[in-house]
Amino acid sequence: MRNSNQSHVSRRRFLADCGKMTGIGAMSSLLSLKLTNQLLAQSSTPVVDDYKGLVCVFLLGGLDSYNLLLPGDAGYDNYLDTRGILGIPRDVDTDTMNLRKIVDTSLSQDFHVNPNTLGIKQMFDDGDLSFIANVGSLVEPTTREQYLDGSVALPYGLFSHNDQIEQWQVSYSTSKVSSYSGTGWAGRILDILNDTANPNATISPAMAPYGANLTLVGRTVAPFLTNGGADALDMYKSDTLIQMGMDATLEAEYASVLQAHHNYIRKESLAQSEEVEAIEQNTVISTVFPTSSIGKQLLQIAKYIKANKENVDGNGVPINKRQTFFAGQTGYDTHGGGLDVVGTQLLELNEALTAFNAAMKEIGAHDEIVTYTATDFGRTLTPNSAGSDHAWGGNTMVMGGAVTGGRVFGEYPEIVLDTSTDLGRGRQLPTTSVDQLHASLAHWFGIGNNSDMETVVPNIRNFWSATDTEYPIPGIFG
Amino acid sequence: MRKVLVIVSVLCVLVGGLCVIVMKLERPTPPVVAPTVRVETDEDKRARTDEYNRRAALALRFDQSTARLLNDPLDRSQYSEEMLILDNPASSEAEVKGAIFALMSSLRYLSRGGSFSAGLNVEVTNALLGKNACKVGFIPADSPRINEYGQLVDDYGSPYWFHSEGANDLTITSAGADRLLHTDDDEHYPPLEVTQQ
Repeated sequence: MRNSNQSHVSRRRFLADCGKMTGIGAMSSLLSLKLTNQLLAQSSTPVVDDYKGLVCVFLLGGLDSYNLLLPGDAGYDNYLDTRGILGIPRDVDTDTMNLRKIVDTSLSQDFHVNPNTLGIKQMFDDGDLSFIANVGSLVEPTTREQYLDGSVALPYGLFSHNDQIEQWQVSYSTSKVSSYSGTGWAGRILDILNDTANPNATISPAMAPYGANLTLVGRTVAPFLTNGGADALDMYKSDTLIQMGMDATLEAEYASVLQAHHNYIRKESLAQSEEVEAIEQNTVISTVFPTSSIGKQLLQIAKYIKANKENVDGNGVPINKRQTFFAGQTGYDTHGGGLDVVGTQLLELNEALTAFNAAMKEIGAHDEIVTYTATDFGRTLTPNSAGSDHAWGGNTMVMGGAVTGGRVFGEYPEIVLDTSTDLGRGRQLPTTSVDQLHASLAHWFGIGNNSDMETVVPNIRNFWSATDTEYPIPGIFG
Repeated sequence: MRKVLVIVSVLCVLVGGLCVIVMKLERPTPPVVAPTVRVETDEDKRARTDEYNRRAALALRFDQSTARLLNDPLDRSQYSEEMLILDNPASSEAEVKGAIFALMSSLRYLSRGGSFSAGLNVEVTNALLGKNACKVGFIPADSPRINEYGQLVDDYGSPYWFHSEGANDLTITSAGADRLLHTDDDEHYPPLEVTQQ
């Protein structure tokens, strides 16, 4: 048994150790001169004196996002011609059509949204949400000519699910194997901020109700995967024999360092699970959430945020000042099924995001939480027999009080074929990179435009100068 | 007279108010389901997909004859077993898909760092024709399996559909006799019962 005089390893240390355990394979890369230089050139520790949270909603399969954000009146006929059976017809009258019309007043340009996302439309109108048009993985700015003649570095594994998911989560498209492999861009943010932002964390500042993901994995911070709810530990709690047996193994002293550390992680995992379970059971959110999987995940996240906000320091600021979250919705690989499949998925997403936005207002976190959507890739504008196929650039959403709402950032492409961004069948060459999106979010979250940003988004200098004072997506935050 | 005027005025106000309420009640409620999908016959679908594939292929196809490759893909004396299968019009559909898969596996390890080629049919065909980092042609441009638009096609003339879950995963699908993808007669390689295990 462990002697009580032995040095106690705090939960905070545990969180770091978890990250180290997951990052052992990549430790050798620390020896590389480049990374060593980066570490030496690290900026001063960022100051964190307020609370912010970042929520990723990953839409797995590749959202057909040109049926989420559609052209305005002027481009609608072209849209219908190009999309064929996947085109959402004009509504029977102008009034009904106008119910799904949105206007970016700064561009004096109108758009339409999917008829199943009227909650998203309302949030856009209320200034709580904006779109970013034609976002995708890029190594560097790329033209159609460069793509065709091979004169530019392209992201690895274009058009394949897992590779593109990886790039959206890692934010590094140059190669599959690198010193960034195994970590996510938001994980690397917390690697940098965690010491100053969450020195007294008792549970991980990175919570993933969806489950396994790379986005939240750092070298020193490991996400807590709740997979739809913290493990209830029912058998452990209700069966005395199991409890005694388990406790005996947990309290045993192990000669092997690896065994001892593994045992320590198990004990701390139990403690964290109990704490997370208590948060889920005892935190009340009045806003009604849908019972879909994505609705339940976002409700969990709302509870974590509320519980954290109620745990404040002497200045009334939450003790944990930076949190990251990962939710996910599957079912977007819509090669078949026509309009109905995407419509059903978007209806669920619409309800869940609307509820989450309302919940953030309810708990007073609306200005502190930014939610964004990510997906494998966009889809072909032209249909196959019954659906659409893998493509590249697509439209994404950012939501929250800090976001400049009611805008369509980036360049919304003309929905026709043979344009300067069409790579065949309406696959859109991205005009805004995933890296620009992530760097904008990271900058809002507290990462300076310095070597820290280059750690979080390694290729950012291909899109954003170190001397630039505006966000990589200009105007996205006020 | 004054009383009558007052009563008429009150009645006008009441009727006006009632009209406003009724008009508000009759405002259209937001639609919550997708509008009706355009209806297409199977023949329409075939014509449309053929046209889309043709347009994309014409824009993207690779010209093997002008490319500086390290080998001569037209030299049949150097053919591998898989290339011979593709070159033989009598090869079965399953054999052809298996051969394409094997050639793509070779390409994957030779020039793509272990990743399968992905994208539209014409882009995958381009890679096998020689548009790859190692500049090796794995199939000849005059292969009986390549159509006039530079696409690898099945027994019925439909371009194969290449679907990549990830770098290590590839499914080749032929549309079958109905020449429509995502219908019951589609044939997959590897077979779905294998990939779903």
